[in-house]
Amino acid sequence: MRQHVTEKVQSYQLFSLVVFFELGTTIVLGNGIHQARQDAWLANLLGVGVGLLLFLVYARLYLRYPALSLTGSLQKICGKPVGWILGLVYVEYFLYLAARDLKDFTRLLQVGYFPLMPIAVTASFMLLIVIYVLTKGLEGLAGTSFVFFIFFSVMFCTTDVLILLFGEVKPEQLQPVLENGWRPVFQTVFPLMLTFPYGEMIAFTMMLPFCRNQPRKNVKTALWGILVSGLVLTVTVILDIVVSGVDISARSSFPYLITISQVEVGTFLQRLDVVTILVLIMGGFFKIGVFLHAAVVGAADLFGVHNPRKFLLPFATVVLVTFLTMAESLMEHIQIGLQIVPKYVHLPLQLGIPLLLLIVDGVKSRTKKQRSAGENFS
Amino acid sequence: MPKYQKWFRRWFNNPKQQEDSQEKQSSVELLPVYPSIQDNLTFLKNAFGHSSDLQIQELTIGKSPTVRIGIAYIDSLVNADKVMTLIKDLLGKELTQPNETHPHSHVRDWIKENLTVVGDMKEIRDWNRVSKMLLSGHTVVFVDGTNQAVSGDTSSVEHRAVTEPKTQIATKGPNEGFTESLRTNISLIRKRIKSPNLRVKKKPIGQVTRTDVALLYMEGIANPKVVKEVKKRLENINTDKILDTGEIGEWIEDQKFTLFPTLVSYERPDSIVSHLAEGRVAILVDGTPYAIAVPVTFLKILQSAEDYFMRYDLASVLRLLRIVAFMISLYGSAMYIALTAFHQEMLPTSLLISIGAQRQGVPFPVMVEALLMEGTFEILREAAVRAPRALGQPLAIMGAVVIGETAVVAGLVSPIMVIVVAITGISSYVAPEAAVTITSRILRFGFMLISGVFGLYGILLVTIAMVAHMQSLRSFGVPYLAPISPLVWSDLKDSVVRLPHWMLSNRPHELKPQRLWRIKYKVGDRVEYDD
Amino acid sequence: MIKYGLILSLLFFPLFMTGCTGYHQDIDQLAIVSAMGVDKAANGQYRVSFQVINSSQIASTKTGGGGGKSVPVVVYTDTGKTLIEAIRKASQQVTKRLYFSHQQGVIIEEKVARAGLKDVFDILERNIQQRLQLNVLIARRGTAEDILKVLIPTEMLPGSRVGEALKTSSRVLGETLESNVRDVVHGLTDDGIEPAISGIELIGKDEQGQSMSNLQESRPVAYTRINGIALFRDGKLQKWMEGNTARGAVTLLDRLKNTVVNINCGDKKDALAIEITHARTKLGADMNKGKPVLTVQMAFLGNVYEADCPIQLNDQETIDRLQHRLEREMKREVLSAVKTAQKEKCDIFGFGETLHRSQPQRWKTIRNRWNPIFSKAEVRVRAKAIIDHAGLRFDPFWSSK
Repeated sequence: MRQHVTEKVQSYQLFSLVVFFELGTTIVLGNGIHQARQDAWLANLLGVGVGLLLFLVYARLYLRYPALSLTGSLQKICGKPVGWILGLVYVEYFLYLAARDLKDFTRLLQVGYFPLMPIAVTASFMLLIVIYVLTKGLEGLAGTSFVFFIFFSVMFCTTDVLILLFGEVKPEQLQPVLENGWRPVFQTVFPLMLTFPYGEMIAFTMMLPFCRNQPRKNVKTALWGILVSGLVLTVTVILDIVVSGVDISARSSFPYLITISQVEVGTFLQRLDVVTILVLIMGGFFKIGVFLHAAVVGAADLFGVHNPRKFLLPFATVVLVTFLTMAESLMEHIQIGLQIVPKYVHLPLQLGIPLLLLIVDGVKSRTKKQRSAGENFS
Repeated sequence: MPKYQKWFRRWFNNPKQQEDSQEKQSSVELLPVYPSIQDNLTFLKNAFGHSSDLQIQELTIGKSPTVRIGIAYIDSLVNADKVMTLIKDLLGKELTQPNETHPHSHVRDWIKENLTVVGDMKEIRDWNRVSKMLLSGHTVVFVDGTNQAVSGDTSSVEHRAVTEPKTQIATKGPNEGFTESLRTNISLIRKRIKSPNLRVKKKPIGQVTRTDVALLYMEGIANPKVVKEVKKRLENINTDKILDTGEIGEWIEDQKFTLFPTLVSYERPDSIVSHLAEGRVAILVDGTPYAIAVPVTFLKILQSAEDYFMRYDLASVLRLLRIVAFMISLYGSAMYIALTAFHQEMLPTSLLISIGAQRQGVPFPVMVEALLMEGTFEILREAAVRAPRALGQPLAIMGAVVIGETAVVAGLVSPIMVIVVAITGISSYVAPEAAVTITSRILRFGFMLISGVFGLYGILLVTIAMVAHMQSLRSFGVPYLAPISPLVWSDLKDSVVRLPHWMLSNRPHELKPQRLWRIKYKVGDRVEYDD
Repeated sequence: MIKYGLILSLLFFPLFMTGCTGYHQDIDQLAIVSAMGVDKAANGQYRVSFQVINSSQIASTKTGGGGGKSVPVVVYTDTGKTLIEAIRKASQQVTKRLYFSHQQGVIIEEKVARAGLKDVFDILERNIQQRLQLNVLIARRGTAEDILKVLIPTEMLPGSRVGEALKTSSRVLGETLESNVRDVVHGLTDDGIEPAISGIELIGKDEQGQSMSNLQESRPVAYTRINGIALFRDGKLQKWMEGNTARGAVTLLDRLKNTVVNINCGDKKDALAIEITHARTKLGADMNKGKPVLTVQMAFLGNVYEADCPIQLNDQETIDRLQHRLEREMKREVLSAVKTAQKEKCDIFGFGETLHRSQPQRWKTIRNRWNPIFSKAEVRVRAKAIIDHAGLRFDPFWSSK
């Protein structure tokens, strides 16, 4: 009766998913203004470069084994037991990231828009929708992201033009450039910006094998996605600084909201706040969706289950429980998120293990080559 | 097939019963016609249960030897004049040289060759065909001594003349609408497509009604896979009656549980022709003035036939307007609820004060107020559609006075709520296709509920789920959101906007037509006219 | 299927448990605050007043016509040691929930401003309901509470009038400053710039101004006027600037939109009025041998608005002379504004910020003692004025004799 159409993800859908994933909640938070102040845009530009380099590490792994996701290539390179356990660690890591993101997101929503709504309710509703969309598979998630990407681009461009036309733009607020030298800029990029949002791209190693095109083209698409989202973040940060001022942006939890709320077009179009909430929700949704999907696909791969959808409900439950037992206050949450987690969790999992894998794989293949060459000689 | 569908199927259908009835039917089919005219006529009378409109006459024709013949027809289905001429002809004409050895079969052949007054003469051997022919208005002539009968088309069924379409109204372009007669409908299409490549396949569906269902497509343009799939699904229909295309639609849809229409019915032959020319398949059903076109996409449903007759700039603007109106009808009241109950900071100050003032003393929360008003509006609408025409006027006045004036004056609802309801209500009728109207009307209530609970957050998340659902929908294998997702650049020319006709050189990619290009020659080539 | 449903419902237990309609506040349950006032009470506590819109009254005047029976706004007042305490106490008097998102202005009593603004502004900035575009004014004569209580005939909402009046006066007169919470916070927190806020004063008998009778007079007994610019140092009000000096300050802040400048016409004093339609000011700061040099570059575009003396306005030489005089006049005003600010050691113009931007390294060494350095700085002003037309006539009728 019903035709099951197994279309794979198209490159533009992958692109839009990457962009949404990278923008996530970051765009509203004013990436790096807090640390690098008026040089945040420099930090952002530098961050994109580093993010692209980091993704090249993942891409290298993927190109070595184009049919395998991260959990697959882990087992291939490290052998069954070690690779399997590492794979499980990654699955849990993705679940943790999903829960963390959910926490970030619901907190922002509560502070900014729904002071009366308990975050558990917001989070459950979000998870419900994520589960529904993920039952449509990666195609569903990526396809939906593309439709919303069109919407987002139109909205973002219009808003930015309105800000430039009607906001009180003071470009001199970007000065002085590099007041305290490159140090604060570098400190913003490492390890903070490297791990969030660029290092989180590791979730895409679970998805690239399911994309339609040639592996090389997929990598190229993802790189473009990172670049574009980086530029969007930079533009946003510049607008934040130029319109709201460094000081207010750095001290506020929603610089983008403050920037947008200053647009007044005559007396009728005064409150564009709705734009921020839409951007925030879309970003949060696709980010959580990608993490949950990565975890689900990884688990299906590890346990040899054919239909990954079976993991959706249990995993969503895990995410919700993790979410509920996480740090109590926003301050504690941010402290853990900015100081402890990057060093001991993000860096090894996002940078350490992939690099190690590449090295081990390189050594392995070289010895194999030598061995086979040696055999030929003898 | 998803689990729940199987479950529904098991619950509601009893497959055993159906198999039994089918067996019975097939055993009757093969009974041959008796050689004796008496036996035949008796059998016929019994088969039709002495139905009073079954007319049977016995005649003797020829001089020497004489042959007895029996004429049977159903009074209510035939043209009396035609039958009279037939009988006159049978009685009046001289039999040519009787064949001594086989006088009876000679008579039969003579009847077949000489009765030119009626068309479509056929030989019949079994009873199944006899009853079928009788029921479609033919007159059957039994000849004594042969086990074959002859039937001639004398049918004449009452039906409406071709008039303007009732629902899909256009101010420009052709204004003929389909009628209840399948023949007329096909002729309306045929006269617009002067090509031998137009294929018409007929098949009766429904064990009781045996309604003729016709499948139309353009050979060489339509994707053969789609044609095959449509045929297959039509054959799988297992029902006793088909009265309208809507019933067919429910049987052959891809996704059963969705609020979005994956096929559309049209009352206009020109719409169907334009679909056929693009490579779609049309399904016509006898007895209804609506025809289905498949496969269709969401954007296609939001288009009107008129879009192609107007200038492209106006057509594009109107299409955009329609999409905006669809959005308003979906989100209008939900947004009102979200803004007044959750996000007051997003309203301009003067509007906030004015809404706040209007809502003073209204006894319900915004969501309840909105649901009440929208509900009342829907009831009024339904009543206005169903009520006898004479009641329409008083009904409209009652609605306008009760909702528009009294409820506001009584302080039950705020005036602005009435405005919002009116705007969303009117917007939902901008969509040219009734199916979309229904979608937006049902979804609107869902959005209102969710926005009353979660505000904008709920609206956007449910929209995400809705888009994910729409993008998983297929209409005969064609993605529902094409050409936006999956993206096909060259099809965007005729989607949200419509570019000039000379730029629409290809048929939609999503249909995978056999010939992608509408015309063989390139634009600017010489075209020869013959006259 | 049933199993899945069970898990699903367990997972979304919070959704079902908490009920579904408790998360919002209906619009008619809000008391929309249109303006807020902060005063110092006698015992040293804060006294906070809210002007709340009486929306039912506004609705009835709209539909019924001919003026309502009760006042369009209600003012609630209470005191507390902190602002939030006072707000909480005051909100007990209101049956509805106080709603601040649509507030148009904040009025702060001069006494409070002299004691320091920093305590007041944290709450204005931190609360999500507050918007940064909120106008800020200092009550010069009369308390903020009294000013909020005055009803104004032409306006339905006195609170929103505060904002509108400020906008109009700063756009037409050019002697007042539209400063909002963002500007004030910027001045309070950033080094090298101090806030400057316009003043509002109550004129007439305030008791009568509070009742509806004030609305029925063609010449209201009480009204408010926006006047003067307050200079701050370290968040504390130091001095008022008025008249031409205030206009000089507005010019320096590059906020001058439109104003009329009087210049002498021969012997006749202030006989020529020139309307300035466009103005642009650029500040610069540099250190020269440990002493700062402040530079101001100004450009004006104007036209002759009124000429009460015989003068040849179709003569380019005359126009050149007028331009020159206009430049001199504006320079004088600007210099007097800078001098006043220097005397009070209040760098409201952001010269320090300019220096910070152009020479961040040197700034670091002097940032802590910028205000005294600023007060001794040398100021150089350059101005360029262009008069491009003289209205509908060339020569005034004075000269046609």
